[in-house]
Amino acid sequence: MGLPQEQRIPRIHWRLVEVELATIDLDDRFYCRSFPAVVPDRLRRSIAEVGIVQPVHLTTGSGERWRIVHGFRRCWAAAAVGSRLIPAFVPGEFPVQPRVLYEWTVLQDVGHRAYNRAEQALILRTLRDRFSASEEELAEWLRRMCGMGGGQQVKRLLRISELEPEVLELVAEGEFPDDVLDMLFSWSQEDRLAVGSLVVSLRLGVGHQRELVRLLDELAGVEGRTPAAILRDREVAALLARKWTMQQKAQHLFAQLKARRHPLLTQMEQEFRDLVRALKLPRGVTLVHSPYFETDELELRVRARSPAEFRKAAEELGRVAQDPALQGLWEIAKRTA
Amino acid sequence: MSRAAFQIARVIVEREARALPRTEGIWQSFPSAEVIQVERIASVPPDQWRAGDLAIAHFRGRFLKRCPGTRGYICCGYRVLNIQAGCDLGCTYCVLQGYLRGPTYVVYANLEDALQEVEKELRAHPDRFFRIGTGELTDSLVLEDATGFGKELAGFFARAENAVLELKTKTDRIGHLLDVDPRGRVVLSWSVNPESVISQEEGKAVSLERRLRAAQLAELAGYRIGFHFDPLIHHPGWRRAYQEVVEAIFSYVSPSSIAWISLGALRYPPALDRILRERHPESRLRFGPLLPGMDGKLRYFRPVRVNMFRHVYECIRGASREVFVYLCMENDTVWREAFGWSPGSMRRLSQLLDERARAGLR
Repeated sequence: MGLPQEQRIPRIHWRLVEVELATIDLDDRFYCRSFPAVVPDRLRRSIAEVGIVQPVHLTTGSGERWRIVHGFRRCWAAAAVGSRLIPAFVPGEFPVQPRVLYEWTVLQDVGHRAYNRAEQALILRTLRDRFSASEEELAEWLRRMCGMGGGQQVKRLLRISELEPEVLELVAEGEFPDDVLDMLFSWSQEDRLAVGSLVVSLRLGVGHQRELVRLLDELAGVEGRTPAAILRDREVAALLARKWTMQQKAQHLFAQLKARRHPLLTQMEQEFRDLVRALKLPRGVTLVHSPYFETDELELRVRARSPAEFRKAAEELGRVAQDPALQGLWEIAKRTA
Repeated sequence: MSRAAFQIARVIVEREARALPRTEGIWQSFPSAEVIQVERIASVPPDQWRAGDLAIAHFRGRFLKRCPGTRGYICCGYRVLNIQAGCDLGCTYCVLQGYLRGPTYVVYANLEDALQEVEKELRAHPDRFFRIGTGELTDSLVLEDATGFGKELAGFFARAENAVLELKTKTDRIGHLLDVDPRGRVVLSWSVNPESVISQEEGKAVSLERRLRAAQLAELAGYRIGFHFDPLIHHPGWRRAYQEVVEAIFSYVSPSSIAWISLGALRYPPALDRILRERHPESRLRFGPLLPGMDGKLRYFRPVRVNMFRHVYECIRGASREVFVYLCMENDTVWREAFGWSPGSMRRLSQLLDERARAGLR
């Protein structure tokens, strides 16, 4: 129990050898931590040009061939560019316990790169399922991986690890906050995938993600449909297909979903805007209703850069004050009720 | 009392409460429960509490407080006397789900300290009038058969000069109270909703009919009666449903016995949204026309609330011109739009309710 101390992980004596690529099992992912497991183009190009500079780490597997411990992407890139021999470290003494090797390889990574959330989740699941790590050990490993831990985080990550690979890829790509993930957990795979893809493709920030899942969840309840079905609607698909920036698409999507979730509010906002426009307020003057029309108070804002501008605005406001249409602003809510 | 009577599996007694005169009586009301003594209930780790635990404690803080109210809305100036906390009726919309951690119930067995505190406060301000309720953190009568606190409080307030006690409930556990003469100083109140809402959203609370039968018995025993349309729930057919509730009320209770009727629309802190989703996935409440109010709580959109309040108000007025009707935690705009007038401030609403309470003293 407790922090996986250095002394719990025996030092592994590695010796450097040259290994034929054909003797390595490239499909074996027992020790793999990368998710998604893809080879970046630049790594492939570099290996094509200068070969593997940093030797990979291998061990013996259950069969005849070598098993990769550390350096999966380098091995796959080497295979892709047709390398025959690669430098590798192999244990000086056999056998080394698989758990020892797995913990060693995670510790190697921690010093060099940050795991994405999907990777953290899969590592914890591997430690739990394959190596029977306790909850406390998992919490300590999480602290090692990302500097924070705790039972709740471990539980959430273990749930993440059970997501479908397609959704897990979105988790790896996007920065989903915990509450958004919790909502996604409660949805079907189809809904998770539809919403997750949208979040990633529109590059929605945390606030917008929350807004989107909340609106979709509520709309799904109101309309008796699924979030995925709502996103398949012709109007939604049409606006997402427009040649707009991601930001514009997100803005229009939210406006459309909000109008469906709160039609009365949207109607009142529109009426208010129309009436204010018709009043032809002086330049620099704005009229603002209370948030969500919660009260009948309107706020008048005047922006003036000089006393003359202020006087002019005040004079023109005198004219607006006599406009019978002004009353209409206070009638909107009554009409709606 | 209910569709499924509550189950207390363990009674946890705080050491200091062990010797209090009421303690043994309370735990003996649950003969099959395991009894455990602890030093302090506050020191029990949260994960060790189980559903169905009832803790008997000695409360050391202030029992009597002002109703917390909420920013931007007119409060009625109520005082709350917290002599127990928790409720397992299981209403889907209950805000206690978000506030209370620990045992299902905590009962403070040092009730005499609470009564002394109230007495001191009443004596210190003889010129003031107090409306005091015990239903902020619990249903006032849900544990009545075990604690008898309602009866003790009723006896105490029956002698008070400048206060009324209101016991709010969704149960019909009033048997103990019927042999107390309340002298107009105790209001027994029921939260009411259409039967369809009760069965969908109010867990183990009793039916409307049973609440109204209990109200009728209470009236016959000399109690003044209160009704709280709170929370009003927006649902298909709400107009007809609430009209029927109003008609039912006046078929059971005489308007002259009604101290007040309050209206309050569904509202809850955003944190409850998640609880509703996770614990009550079958509930439709979250899908109502809810928007954030001035205090950050989710409330029905103003025109929707106004519509509902106006309708229920008109139904009540159709049955009685004189019953005092007020809005719970609403803003001035809504008051004016729904009722055509507004108290304008907490002070004024409080005065009006005090006058109403005083008028019923015997």
